[in-house]
Amino acid sequence: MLEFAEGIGVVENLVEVRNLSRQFGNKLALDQLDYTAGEGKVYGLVGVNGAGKTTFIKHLLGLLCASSGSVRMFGMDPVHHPLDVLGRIGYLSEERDLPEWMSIAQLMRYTEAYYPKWDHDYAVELLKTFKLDPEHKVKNLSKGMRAQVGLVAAVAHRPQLLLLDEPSSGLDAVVREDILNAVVRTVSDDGRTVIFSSHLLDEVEQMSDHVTMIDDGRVLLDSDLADIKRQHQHSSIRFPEHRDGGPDITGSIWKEGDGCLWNAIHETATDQFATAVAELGGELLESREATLQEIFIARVGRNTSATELST
Amino acid sequence: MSHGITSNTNRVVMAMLWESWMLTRWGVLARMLIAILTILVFYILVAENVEVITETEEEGLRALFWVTCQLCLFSGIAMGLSQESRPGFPFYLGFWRPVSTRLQVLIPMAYRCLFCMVLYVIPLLLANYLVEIQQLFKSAILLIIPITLMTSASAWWTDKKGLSQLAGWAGVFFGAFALMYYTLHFNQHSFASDPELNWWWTFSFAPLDYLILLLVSLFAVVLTLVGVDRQRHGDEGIRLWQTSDGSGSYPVDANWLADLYQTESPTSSSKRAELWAEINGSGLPAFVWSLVIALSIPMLWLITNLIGSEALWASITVFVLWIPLIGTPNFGIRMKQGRAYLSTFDAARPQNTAWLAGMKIGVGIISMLAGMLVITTSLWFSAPLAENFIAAIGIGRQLLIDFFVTTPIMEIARSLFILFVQFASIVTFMAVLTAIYSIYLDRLTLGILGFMVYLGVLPIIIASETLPLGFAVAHVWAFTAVIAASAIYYCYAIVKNRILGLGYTCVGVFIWLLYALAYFSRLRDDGMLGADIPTEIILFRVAVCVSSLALFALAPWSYAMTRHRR
Repeated sequence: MLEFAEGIGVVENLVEVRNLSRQFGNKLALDQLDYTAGEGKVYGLVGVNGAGKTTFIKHLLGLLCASSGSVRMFGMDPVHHPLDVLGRIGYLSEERDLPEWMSIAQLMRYTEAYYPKWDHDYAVELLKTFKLDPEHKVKNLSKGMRAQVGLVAAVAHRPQLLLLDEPSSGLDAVVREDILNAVVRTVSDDGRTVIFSSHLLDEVEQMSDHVTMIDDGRVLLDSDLADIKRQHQHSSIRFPEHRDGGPDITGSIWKEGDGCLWNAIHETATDQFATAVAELGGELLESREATLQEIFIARVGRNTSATELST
Repeated sequence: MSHGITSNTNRVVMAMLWESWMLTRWGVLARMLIAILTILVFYILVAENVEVITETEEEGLRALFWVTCQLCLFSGIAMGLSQESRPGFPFYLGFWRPVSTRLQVLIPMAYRCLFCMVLYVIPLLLANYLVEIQQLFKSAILLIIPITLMTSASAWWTDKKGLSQLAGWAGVFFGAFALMYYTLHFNQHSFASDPELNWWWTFSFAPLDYLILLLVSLFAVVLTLVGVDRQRHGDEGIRLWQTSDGSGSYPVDANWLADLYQTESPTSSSKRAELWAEINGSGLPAFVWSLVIALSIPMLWLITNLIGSEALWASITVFVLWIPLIGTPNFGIRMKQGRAYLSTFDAARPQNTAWLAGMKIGVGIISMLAGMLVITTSLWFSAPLAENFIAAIGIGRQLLIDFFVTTPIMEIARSLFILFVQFASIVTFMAVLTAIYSIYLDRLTLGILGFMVYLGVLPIIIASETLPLGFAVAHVWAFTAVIAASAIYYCYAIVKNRILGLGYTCVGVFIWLLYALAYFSRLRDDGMLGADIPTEIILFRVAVCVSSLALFALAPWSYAMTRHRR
C-alpha cells in the first residue's frame, strides 16, 4: 500500500535508510548502512552484542541523529517530525525503560493518551493473556513481566510499525513464547510491520520474513529469509588425502574440518559446488540448506554458542 | 599455603583500592583543587595585602580559614556517599566475587577515611604554611574518621529507598551533630558568651571523647558490615507494613504517601497526560514532603521548647530544613525519573520536545515554589516557638511585616515577579546542566574544572601584577557578550530547528522583556544605575538579566540534544 507523507509525496517504504553512519568517539558504530522495510512483514536484525543493532533502532526512532546519511520513516525525518513518526510506532526498548512509580493500569491509561487508535479491549486482553495484575506497580515487576507490560504498551495502539529491541533478551521460554505469539498476532492483524533485533537465531528464523545481518556497524546480508536459506547450502565433503588448511573451493564462504573430512557453506548451487569439489579430487557426501546460525557464523566468521550469538 | 592466601588477599586489596580510586579520583582531585585555590586566593587577596593585621582581623582571618577547612572536611565526607544513584553498597557488583564481606566493606571504608583526611590535611598544611595556624589541625582531624564512617554507614547499610534511608540519614546527622557538640565542647560555650571564637581551635579531647569517637566508629563499621552482608544475600529490608498494591512484597519506602493522592491519568490528550505524569511523578511528591516538613516544624519546636535545649532545637531545625533542599531525591521520592533528563521512555513518546522540557521544568519550578511556600508559612506561624532560642527570628518577622505593610502593592508584585523569574532561571539552569551533562559528561566535567581553575588562577595573576587589573575587568565585558550572543543564538536555533514555534518563542521573549523592564526599573529605583556605580557592575547585572533569556532558550534546545543525541 502506498502512502502519502506530509509534503513528501508517495512513500513506498516505511523505513528507508541511506548511507547511515554514526560515530561514538573513535568507534564507528554504524558504517554506510543502507536499509529498507516495507509493509506487512517481520524484519529480523541479527548481530552479536555491540554490532550496532540498538544504535540502528535508535536512529529509526530519532533518538539518535545520524552523523551522516539519511533516515526516513514513513517518508519523514524522525528527528524533525517526532510526533508524526513516533505516533505510528510501537517501541519496546532493550532496557525495558518504564516509569517505575506507575501501576500497570496507570501506565496503560497514560500511554493511551498518546495514541488515538489505542485499543483498550486489546490491551486488557493481552494483560489477561500475560496474567498481569493491572494494580501492580512497575517497580515490583520481574524482568519478564516488564517486557510483557512494555510489549502491551507498544502493541495496543496497533502501530503501523512495531520496533522491538531484543524483545526476548533474558526471558524464559514461556514468556518468550508469549511475546512471539503477540508479535505474530500483531502482524497477522491488518498486515502491519515488525522490526525486531535479536541475537537468538532460532527466534529470528522462526519469526522473520526478512533478515538483516549486522556486524561492526555494517550490513553483511540483507534479504528475505527464504532467499537467504536458498542461497546458502551446507555441504560435507571428503578428500582422499589429508588437506592442511582445508580446500579452496569456488563459491565457498566458510569451511571447517580436519584432515580429509570438511564441512562448507557455499553460495553456489549444489551441482556446481560438487563439480568444483570433484575438480580438486574430492567428493560431495551430503548437501542441505544451511541454518541461519550456520550462515551467520560463515558470514561473521566467529564461533558462537548453540543458538545464542552473545559474545 | 598461607603465603598464597596472603598474596591473594594483597591482590584483592590492591584491586579494591584501585576500583575506589577510579570511581572517586575526579571528585577527590576537584575538591582538593577547589580547597587549595580557595586558600591561595584568600591568602593573596586578603592576608598578603594587609601589612599590619590587627588582633580582631586575625581572629576573623582564622575564623574564615576554619570555615574553609571545615568545608574541605565536609566535601571530603561526601565521598562516603554512594557513587551512583542506586542506594545501598556501591560495590554490589562484587557480591559474586570470592571475597569476604568484611574485606569488601572495610577496604572502601578505609579508603574513604584516608582520602577525607587527606582532603582536610593538605589544604590545612598549606594554610599553616601561609599564616601559621597550627591549632587548626586539632579542630577536626579526629572527627573525620567517625563522621566519614557514619556517612558511609548511612548510605550503605541498606539498598532500600525511603524510610530506611531517611532513618539512616537522621542517625548520621544527629550522631555527627552530637559528636561535634560534645567533643568540641560546644556545651561549655555559646556564640553569645564567647564572641572571640577562640575556643573553636583551642580545645583538647578528653579521654571520654576518645572513647566516644571510637565507639561511634565501631558502631558505624558493624552496622555497615551487617547491612552489606544482608544485601549480599538479598536484603529484604525491615518490614514495617504491607504495601497496598497486592504485590506481596514489603518494601519500606515513601511511595505509600504518594499513593494517597494519586489520580487517574487523563486519556483525552497527550499533553494533559504528560502534565499528569510530571505532577504525579515529581511535583506532588516534592510538595507532599514539604507539607510533612511544614507540619513537623511546629511539633518539633514545641518539643524542644518543653525540653528547653538550644542544641536540640538547632540540630532539628537544620535537619528538617535540610531534607527538602538536599535529601529528597534519596528518599524514594519519585523525583528522579525523567526529571532533568529524558529517559528512553520519555524520548520515545510522540510528544513535542519543547512541551516535554516545559512540563518537566515548569512542574519542578511550581512544586518547589509551593513546597517552599508551605515551609515558609509553617516557619512564620511557628516563629514564637523559636524566639526563646534565636531572638533574630522575631526581628526578621517584624521586618517582613513592615515591608508588606509599607510597600505599595505594585512594588511588591514587581519584586515577586523578579524573584520568580530568577528562581525559575536557577531551576532551569540546573535542568539544562543535567541535560547537557548526560550527553557531554567528561567534556563538561573537564570544562567546569578548567573554568574553576582559571577563576582561581586569575586573581593570582592579577595580584602578582603579571597582568593589569584591566585584564580581569575585560572578563565582565566578554562574559556579557557571550551571554547575549548565546541568548540570540539559542532563540534562533530553537526556531530554526523547529523545537519551538516562532509564536511561542516570541511570547517567551516578551515575558523576558517584561522581566528585564521590572528588573532595571527596580535597580533604578534603588539607585543602582546611578553615575557613581561602575560600568562593570551595571554590565554584570545586564549579563545576569540576559542569562535568564539564554537559559529559557537553551532548555528546549538541550532537551532536544538529549533526545536526539547529535
